Amino acid sequence: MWIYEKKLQYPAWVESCDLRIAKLLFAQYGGPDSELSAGLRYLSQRYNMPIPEAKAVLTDIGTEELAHWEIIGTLIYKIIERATPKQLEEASLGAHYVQHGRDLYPHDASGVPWTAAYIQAIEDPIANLHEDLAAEEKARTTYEHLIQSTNDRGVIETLSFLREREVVHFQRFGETLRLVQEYLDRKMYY
Amino acid sequence: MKKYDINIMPPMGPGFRLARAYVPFQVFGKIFEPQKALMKGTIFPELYDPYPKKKRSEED
Amino acid sequence: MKINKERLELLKEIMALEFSMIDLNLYLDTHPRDEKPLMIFAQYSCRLKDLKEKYENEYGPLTPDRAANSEWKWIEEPWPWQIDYEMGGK
Repeated sequence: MWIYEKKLQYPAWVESCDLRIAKLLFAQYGGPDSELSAGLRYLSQRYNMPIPEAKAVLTDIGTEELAHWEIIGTLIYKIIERATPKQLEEASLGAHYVQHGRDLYPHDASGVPWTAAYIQAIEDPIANLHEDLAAEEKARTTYEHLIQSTNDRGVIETLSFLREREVVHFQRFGETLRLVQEYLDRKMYY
Repeated sequence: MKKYDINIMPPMGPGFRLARAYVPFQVFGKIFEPQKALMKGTIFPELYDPYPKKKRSEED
Repeated sequence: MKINKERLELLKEIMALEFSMIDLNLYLDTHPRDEKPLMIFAQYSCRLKDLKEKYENEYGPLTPDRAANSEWKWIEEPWPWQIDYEMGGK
């Protein structure tokens, strides 16, 4: 089960009010390669993983992704919290403001609502883990694009943290893939 | 820049099979102390992969 | 929302330690019999317990199960997204 700890994993901060990056940050809040997709994907795939290491990795990384989802939400919240409707409109957040006010909502950088079509869980652990490796690379790339799209120091530092986490996650999924491969190879001979 | 030449891709040794992807296993070494780790995004120096950011100018 | 300097410093110490433990946690998930990281995790865990106790006694619970008190401090602001982490001075 999940317990909520009343603190962020990282001290997310923003230097000023870059509303344009706030709009783009939704890519990682509700987009195809977002933290939300990552969290739900891994937490869905964990049930039938054949070895305990894999159940643990998917549960723990899935949980960490939800903590990252919270960080992205916090960045957006901090940027838009004092923006006027007019300022939001000028930053192409007019539609978001009309439909959601300053609330967060799981849609992508264009306003397209999140869908489970972004994720897959197919029972085969080799297929699942390859999806996870790809997901981490896509998330890393998205962070790089976002970093290139702003000069806000706080946003850049926070996104750099999140980007580095994707590198680490890739390594863990890679190791999990090796362990699962080894297990399945051994199983073949009994 | 060296051109990619399939004949000089290093062999991976006897245990490895075709149609499979392999990520090397990490070996535990030194770790960053906690404050430094938090700022970098990992405790592991060998996994630390900083992303160089080009400052965005008006002309971009 | 700003919080007082001592509280912020303690919170950041807790964040750094707990983060390091998560990175160790993930490593141990794929290397469950590695003794060195297990030992470091145990050391950190001990220190984290002390830091959290100190924080929670002074400023309120970090998880609802730690909310036992004469007042229900769990609901108190600031919530994590409201805090000004004062990172800009660096």
